Amino acid sequence: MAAGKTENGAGVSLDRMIQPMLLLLILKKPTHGYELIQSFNALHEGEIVEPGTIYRNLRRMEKEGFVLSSWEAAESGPARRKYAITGEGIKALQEAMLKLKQQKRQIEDFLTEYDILATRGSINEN
Amino acid sequence: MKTDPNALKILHAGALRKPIKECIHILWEKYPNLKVELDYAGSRACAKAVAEGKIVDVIALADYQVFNDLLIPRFVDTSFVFATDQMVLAFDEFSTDRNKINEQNWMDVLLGNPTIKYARSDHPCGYRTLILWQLAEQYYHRPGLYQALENGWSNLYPKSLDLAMALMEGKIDYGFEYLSVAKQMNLPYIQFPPEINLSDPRFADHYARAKVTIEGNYPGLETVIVGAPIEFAVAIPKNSNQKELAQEFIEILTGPRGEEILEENGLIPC
Repeated sequence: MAAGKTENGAGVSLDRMIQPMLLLLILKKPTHGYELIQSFNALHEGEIVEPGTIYRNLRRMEKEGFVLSSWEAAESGPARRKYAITGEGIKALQEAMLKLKQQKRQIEDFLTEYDILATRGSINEN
Repeated sequence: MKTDPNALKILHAGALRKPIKECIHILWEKYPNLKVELDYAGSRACAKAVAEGKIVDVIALADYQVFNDLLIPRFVDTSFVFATDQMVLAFDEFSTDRNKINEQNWMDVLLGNPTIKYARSDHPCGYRTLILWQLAEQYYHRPGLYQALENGWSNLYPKSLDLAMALMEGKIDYGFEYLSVAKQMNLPYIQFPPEINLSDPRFADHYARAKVTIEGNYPGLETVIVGAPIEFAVAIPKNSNQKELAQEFIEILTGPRGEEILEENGLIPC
């Protein structure tokens, strides 16, 4: 997956899909980092992302205005910072989705070209 | 000790010493003449002091469970989770076998050389160490490892910070420590896998398989501690005389500048 932001520079980082995935999870259900770490890695089984990376991305996205946090007290536990997506966050998620679709097409085109050459026997290490 | 009624009184776990002091400096930017009384101890000792009548405005502990166990609801309404950490095995540049020990063989090094002294601190870093040993027994498929480690430790220190000092002074060779404290004291350390280092909410159910029994809130009573990811929490006790100032301090600790300070001190703000 290519790293970087969406084309107008205002969107989320697409690096390792962390920010779009977090925005998607928060859009589905506003929640706290602890729970996001659990659901993120369940959804993203191929690559384990460390808790610190997820917390740092949440804070970064809050600074950029994509999410907003507030303290939520649990019935029998401590209060934790709960994240909700903002209008800017939804816009950034839409931009990320368009960019990812474009990347998906590029990857599919690349794989198609490769398969054609492989079928013809044109890929030879020697 | 005689206290100033106008001072902001902060009681905190030893592991938080450095970040708390740095956050006070930010508060002093707004209130240069503010008197701050800072006191620290092990987290359970801090909570017991408040339960026994000590008046403080902010209490910051290394485990939110200590609030639930000793202070909520009688002395504190709610605690706020603000940082996470992980357990590591810290040592010193002069520790015996420091060049031999690694992430795979640490238990063999600790148990294999009778001259090596390894230690733990009192709770909660202490019960987290015991939980880590239980999880290590399963993770490395080493039956009896927990008991062997439990039988072999040489020293018990009141706070994780005391353990780090003992390492620096050469009193012990290895100590089961918070990563943040090891980083703050510039100690070398070995990291454990997330399955046992108590850092990762993904493994919350797995950590919960480990349990230790510690002395309870009253003599003769016992408390069972269940393994859980490490979470530091802060609160304003009900008997605080400086609730507004206390709130401002917590906003600094949990705000952008506090987050930078926590990160610089090896904690993960959350």
